Amino acid sequence: MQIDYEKETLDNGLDVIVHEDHGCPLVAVNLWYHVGSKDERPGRTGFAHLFEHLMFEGSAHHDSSYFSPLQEIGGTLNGSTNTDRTNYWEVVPTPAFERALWMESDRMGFLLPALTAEKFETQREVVLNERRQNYENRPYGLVPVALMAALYPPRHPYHWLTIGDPDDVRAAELADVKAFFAAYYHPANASLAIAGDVRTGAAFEAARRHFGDIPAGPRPAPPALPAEPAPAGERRLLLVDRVELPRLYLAWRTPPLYAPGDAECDLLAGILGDGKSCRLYRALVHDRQIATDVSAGQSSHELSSSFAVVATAAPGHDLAELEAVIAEELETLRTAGPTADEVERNRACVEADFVYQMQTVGGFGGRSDQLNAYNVLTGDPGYGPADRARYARLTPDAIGQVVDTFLNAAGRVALSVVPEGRPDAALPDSTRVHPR
Amino acid sequence: MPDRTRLPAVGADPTFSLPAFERTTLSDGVQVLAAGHQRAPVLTLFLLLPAGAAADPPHQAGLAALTADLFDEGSAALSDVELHRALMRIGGRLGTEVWSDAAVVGLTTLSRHAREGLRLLFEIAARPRFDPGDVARVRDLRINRIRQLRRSAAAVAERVFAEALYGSHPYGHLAIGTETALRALGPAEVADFHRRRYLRPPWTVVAVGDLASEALLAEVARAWDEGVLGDAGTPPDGLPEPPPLTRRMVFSAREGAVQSEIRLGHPGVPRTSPDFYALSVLNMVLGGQFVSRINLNLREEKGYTYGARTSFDWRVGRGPFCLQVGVQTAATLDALREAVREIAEVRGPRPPSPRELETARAALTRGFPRSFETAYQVARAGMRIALHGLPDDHYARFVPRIMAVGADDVLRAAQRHLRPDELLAVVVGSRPDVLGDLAGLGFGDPVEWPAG
Repeated sequence: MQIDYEKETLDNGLDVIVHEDHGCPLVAVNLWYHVGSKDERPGRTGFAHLFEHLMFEGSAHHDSSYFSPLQEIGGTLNGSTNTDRTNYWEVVPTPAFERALWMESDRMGFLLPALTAEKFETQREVVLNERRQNYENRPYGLVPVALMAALYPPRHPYHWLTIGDPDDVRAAELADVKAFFAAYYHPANASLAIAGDVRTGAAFEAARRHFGDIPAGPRPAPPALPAEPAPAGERRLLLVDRVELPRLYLAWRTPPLYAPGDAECDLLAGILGDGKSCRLYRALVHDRQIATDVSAGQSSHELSSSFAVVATAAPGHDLAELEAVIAEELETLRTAGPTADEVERNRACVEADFVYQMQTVGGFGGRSDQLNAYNVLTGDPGYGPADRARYARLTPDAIGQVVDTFLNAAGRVALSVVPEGRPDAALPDSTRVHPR
Repeated sequence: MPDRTRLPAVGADPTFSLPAFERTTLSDGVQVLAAGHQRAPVLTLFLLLPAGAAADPPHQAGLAALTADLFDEGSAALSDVELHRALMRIGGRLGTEVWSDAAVVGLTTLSRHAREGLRLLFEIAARPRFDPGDVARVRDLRINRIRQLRRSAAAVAERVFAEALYGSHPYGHLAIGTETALRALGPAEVADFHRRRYLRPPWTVVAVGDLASEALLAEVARAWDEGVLGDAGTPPDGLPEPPPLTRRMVFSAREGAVQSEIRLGHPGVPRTSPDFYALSVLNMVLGGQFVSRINLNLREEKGYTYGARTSFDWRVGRGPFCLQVGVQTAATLDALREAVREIAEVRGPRPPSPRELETARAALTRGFPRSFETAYQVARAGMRIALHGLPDDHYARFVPRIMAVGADDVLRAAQRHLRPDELLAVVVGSRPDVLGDLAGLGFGDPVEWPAG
């Protein structure tokens, strides 16, 4: 499925990408800033995400909530922050296209005059509640904190989560906002995608008119990566949590998004963990019945990816039993590889999933978001065919190869999560951790 | 530079034609709704079956969902592995949902696999294998799921709200059921329930995808084989009235919780209520979107929560009106007080303003095309038409009906259908004595609800 587009770079460095689709009277505006939690430093984590919240609280020429002018004309809007980027989007009825563009450009050019201590304090509380809801007050919710801290050394930009440490969020200061805005929120560090019921020429004209006068800032340097010793062997961690059943997380570092090996790991995740005919579901849940669920996933990011296998022990079983079976399945794949049919049907699913994802012009993961992802991370919004080709050329041997190269014992983090009073269910020799 | 002294005005919306449903009836009374949707090479199929959680027999809470969960464990012709491999080869994404009023088997695939997709869908629902070993295994997995949900504050709040609000009414339990009930269920109960409740009209097939409507209807007719469904028999009893209510509060303790998970509401009205349109507008003012009163109050003014929302759950019977919110523990008392105040005040002291009404109507009407962008969305609209017996052109008439809702209609609907004196509050969090004077809110003494 081809996404036709045109791209133009404004004099101030802003990339503008336009994709026409007149099927629905809707326009999607999608703006990426190439900044995420990777650009933070220890002691100041969570700031990129807190900043994202402030972007909805008003700008110099519209000094009140960004939701009202768009929801009152039937539009929808949101934003998100991850390790690598922060995105903002609106999907609006066709006649509201200029309004959406006006608002996006106003907060890119004129955010700071509207920012007050009161807005800052309130959104800090909202973010702390977001953290409570999605991490602290949720079973297994703090696992990602422990996993990322173990996979990446303290000065690596992926050592901490995007939501940040709560003490860091409390310590964030209004004064930090200004420097952050100047460094990252300017046209030369952004990419604008417009998709839907617009004419390409008119969309470029509107983008130039709204964004063309916003001065470029210096392109930020990519975050420094610390020198790392080779992995010294497996690390075993134990987390005691308010959970019912013990759960095992096995995680490894894998090649970055779009790098050789990334697509192989993605397809491997399907072979291991997608659907009821995949290898781990058959082995753990169906046949031996020692687990209640299992999943596998390649989480692809700009600087490094991670691959995780997650399995929950059935009552009466411990995590060492699960680990032994998972290790055996990985070893089989390493030595014998998957069957050709296994690769074929998982490839069919990956390809169909991409088509399903591209049905919508806006929102998280829609066509406008995907065009920006390709543009920001590869420099080419037309990377789609090359992206799909990575999967089309995969062979069973290549799958066995990534298991051998990346999913080995030396680089593995094994995290056991157990209920209070059940340390016996964990893998032996695990070190207790206290993520918060 | 654009004119930055004011926001750009927004002109009138262009006309938007909804995909039109075509309809046919197959043998056995199977209803088919189809709509061509030529945007992407995708086909979404739904099978709407007349057996949701409200059809669970007394003391067998969870039977409908257990039965539906077994659909993809193999059929008369295919083992479970064969079935799942066949689904993957067509990029098929299968999803089973058990609502209160119906069960749904959904399959999204590429349009070119329409024939195989339909074959698998009917195979799954009409001829499940119900192997005794599979039934026991899947039942035990669901029991383990229930045990895990006890640790999720949001899941506990959902369960307690349904139980405390509806009691022994068919809406008084979640689809997953209870551990006690599931332990007593086996292959005989499942097979019997499938025969009595699932293999019975009316089945509805909804097909939306990159084919002409007539071609979709023909594909469905071709895939259907006669004689699968028994006769309609005696229709099941209608839903009774929910029990009467007074304002009260129940809690489920979660020691040391950093947030309180709150549900606040009461039974609403059936989907077929003539007040559906006025209540839809009212909900947008009160809590249906970001700029609604309760979210602006609790999140944007006070910072108590990541988000608060209200909804009317539109069911065949009286589904709940409910506020859902998680708030930091120290703010529990104040958040409840504010929420009750907002629900009471929208009924009169502070009725929706003209600006709020305009925003609410716009959200429902100008945002309307967004709900029909994908085959999946259009197919879900088709299911609502089938479930509630709405006319096929319901969605074409939706916008003018919402636009016709006036301030008086909303106020009257609020006064009639929001009942502050009958609110049930559910709090899952620290014990009430930690939270402060909850009884002072007028809910009486909080009552601890049994663990499920």
